[in-house]
Amino acid sequence: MTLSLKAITIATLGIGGISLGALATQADGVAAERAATIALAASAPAMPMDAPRAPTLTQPAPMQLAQSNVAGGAIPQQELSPFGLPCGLSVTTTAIEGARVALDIMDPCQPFSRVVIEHSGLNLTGRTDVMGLLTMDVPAFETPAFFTVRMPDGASDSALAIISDLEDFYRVGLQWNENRALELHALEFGATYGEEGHIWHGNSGTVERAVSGAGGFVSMVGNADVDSPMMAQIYSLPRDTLNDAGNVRLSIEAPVTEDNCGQDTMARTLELEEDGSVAVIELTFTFPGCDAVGEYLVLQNLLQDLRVASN
Amino acid sequence: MAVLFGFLTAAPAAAQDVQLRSLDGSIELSGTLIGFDGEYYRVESIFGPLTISAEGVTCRGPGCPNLDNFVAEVRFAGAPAIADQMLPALIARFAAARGMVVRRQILARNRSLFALVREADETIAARFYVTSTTTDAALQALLDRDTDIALATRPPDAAEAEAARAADQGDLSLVSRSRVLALDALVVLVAPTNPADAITLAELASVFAGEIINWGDLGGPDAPVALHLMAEETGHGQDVAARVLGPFGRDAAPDVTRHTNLADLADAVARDPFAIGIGSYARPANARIIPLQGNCGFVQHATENSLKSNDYPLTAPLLAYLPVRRMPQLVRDFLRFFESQEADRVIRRLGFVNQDISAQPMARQGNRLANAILSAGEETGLQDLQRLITTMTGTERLSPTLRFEEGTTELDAQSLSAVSRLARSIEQGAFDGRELIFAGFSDGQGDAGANLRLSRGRSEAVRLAVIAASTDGDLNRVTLRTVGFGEALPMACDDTVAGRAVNRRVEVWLR
Repeated sequence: MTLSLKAITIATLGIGGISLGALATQADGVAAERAATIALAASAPAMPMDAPRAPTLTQPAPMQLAQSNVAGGAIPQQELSPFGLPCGLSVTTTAIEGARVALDIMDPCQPFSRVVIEHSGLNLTGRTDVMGLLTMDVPAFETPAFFTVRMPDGASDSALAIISDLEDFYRVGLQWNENRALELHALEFGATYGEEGHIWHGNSGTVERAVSGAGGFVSMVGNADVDSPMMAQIYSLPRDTLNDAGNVRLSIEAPVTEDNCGQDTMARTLELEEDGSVAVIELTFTFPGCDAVGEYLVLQNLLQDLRVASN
Repeated sequence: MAVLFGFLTAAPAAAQDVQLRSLDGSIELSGTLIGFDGEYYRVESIFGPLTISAEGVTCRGPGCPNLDNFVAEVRFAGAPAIADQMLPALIARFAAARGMVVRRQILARNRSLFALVREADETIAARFYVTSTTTDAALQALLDRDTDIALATRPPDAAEAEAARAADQGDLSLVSRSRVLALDALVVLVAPTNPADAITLAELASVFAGEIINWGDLGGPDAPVALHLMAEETGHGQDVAARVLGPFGRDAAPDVTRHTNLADLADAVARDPFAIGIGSYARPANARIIPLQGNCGFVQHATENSLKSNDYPLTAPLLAYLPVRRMPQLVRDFLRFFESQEADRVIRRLGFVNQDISAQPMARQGNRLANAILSAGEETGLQDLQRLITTMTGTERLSPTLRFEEGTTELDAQSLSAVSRLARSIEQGAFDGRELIFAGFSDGQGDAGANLRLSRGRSEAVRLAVIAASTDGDLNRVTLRTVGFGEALPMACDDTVAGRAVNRRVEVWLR
């Protein structure tokens, strides 16, 4: 397959034509709004086709285990989910290969709910399943890696993981709000589009590829099947295990579609620096107009090339 | 969402009435506000235009700016190496160090607004507009006042400097008008698979003029040479024309493949084993940099040290040209940030060379002495060499090295920046109790006696420049000594303009 690419001039924005508000601020507002309507959640969100179906429940409203308390003594009330599991949010993190974290998020009383995951400037949305469970593997940007999980009902929990192999990787992230279908592209060591060293979600590489020293991989994280989704693509390249030395060029691209044409877009770039800090730059731009549908938006120079020194 | 859009800019505000009163109430001044830069009021008064520090006065009247809401604004325009690569990274680091986040708004394909937002209260502290264009266009924009700061990969040529004077923009060669942000260099690139190991400047000019068209004529395989340069309208392309082809009176061949992006150029070269390109030290991408060779045998590698000391003949400082007018405080802080160690680290990470002063022991410079002995002869005798070695012994060579126009004691831009860095280090006490030796050298053109006098004059000129720049330093704590050696220690062949320029220098030795 050959790709025909076309750089497009980005439509000029007027000042104030786009919101400069913090991504997090907006996300919080959305979370609050969701919290207000979550009582109706059971019938509302469209489930993905392959999601396991819930038992035929009309209202998974939390049940109360304890009867009403007797005067004089407060007997703790334990709320249970429709499956009989105790309500409440729990988050566990496990460091896994490729300087990533396996997140296990569980809140049995909040199935099919929008979950916000925050980590080192990265904000992602996820969606719990029928059991209230959500798992996600996220490349880490810091160690100890601190993850905060926020539920629509306002509950939040945090967990830490030690990422012992974080310094083995160069890592660059691109996160965006809404359904904008942004793509992170890496051209490794002089590769051109469509070659094996062109790593993007259409040829994402694997953790095994990185560990063996052949090249990098791109991780697609976040779930778009929620209101106000926040998604990210994260490129990781091993620092020392590579045989090649040279340069990896990075660009941000997106097909212009009926959904995103002419849309104001909020994104952010995250670059893991050598001293362990993460440079986060919030980014706003406007997609080309709808007469450009079918073409590709290419944003160069927003991410620094990765320079791999020879051993 | 608490985003405050500022309503004041550094641009001239509409006529407004203000009344400024000193804090003790003893002095009062009324007038029309011309401008406010976050720190100083500029007021049209009955005494004419006055600049008054906002710190010492209270402002009353409809024209008073809101001090808390002041947003510093500045427009940068210039070369992609600076505008696309260096500035965004430095803005991010500068902001982070001040508890600010950066919001980048892409306004057009080559133009972005970087808003610096205080993390504490979400208010905007500054707006930096950055336009990526050519050095040409940036210098023109500076004249037309379409930009505040021009970012250049080459100094203004005579016509541009003259145009600046004519446009009432003053003298761009003044120290106060320019900053060396970082160092880069023009480098010769080949594919990693290409066996070439060095090239002379004369060969390089002939290759790009289309006179040498086969690698066989350069000691390589029998294969045609494919040529790659940056586009003619780019500062880089113009620098190549002026410094690689110009000295040999050549023009670029018509069949050169031109590029608009340095990494594209380097990767195009990297893919073709028979290609040669002139790219940048900071962006070799996947190509290989080969050193320059002199006909007399000197080989000059582009390295961090050789760029810092300007010993590599095609070193190219990245420059910023500032406006005559006063910039807002935060903008001046940002420009000062470029001299910080934090900025030095970012510059280095991006592949550029910073101007951090480094020291090399003389013991590691045996080949320089060997060169001195080899080139000694009728004009440089044994006594001269002994004097040179006696002075050198036990010293370290500091990276700042000052370079001069032919036959003059005038310093170039990178050298002026180096003087400033040296002065800062003296002020900070880095050399307390030690001796700084300014060792002057000349090229080998002309009479040895005249060259010796010229080299002494240059070392004295540097000493005076350093003293003048060390305004806050205690110069009694450091000994400044000058010495001239004429043409005794050449570092490059004297048969080219670039080689002679490398040899005309004042080195700084620390004992």
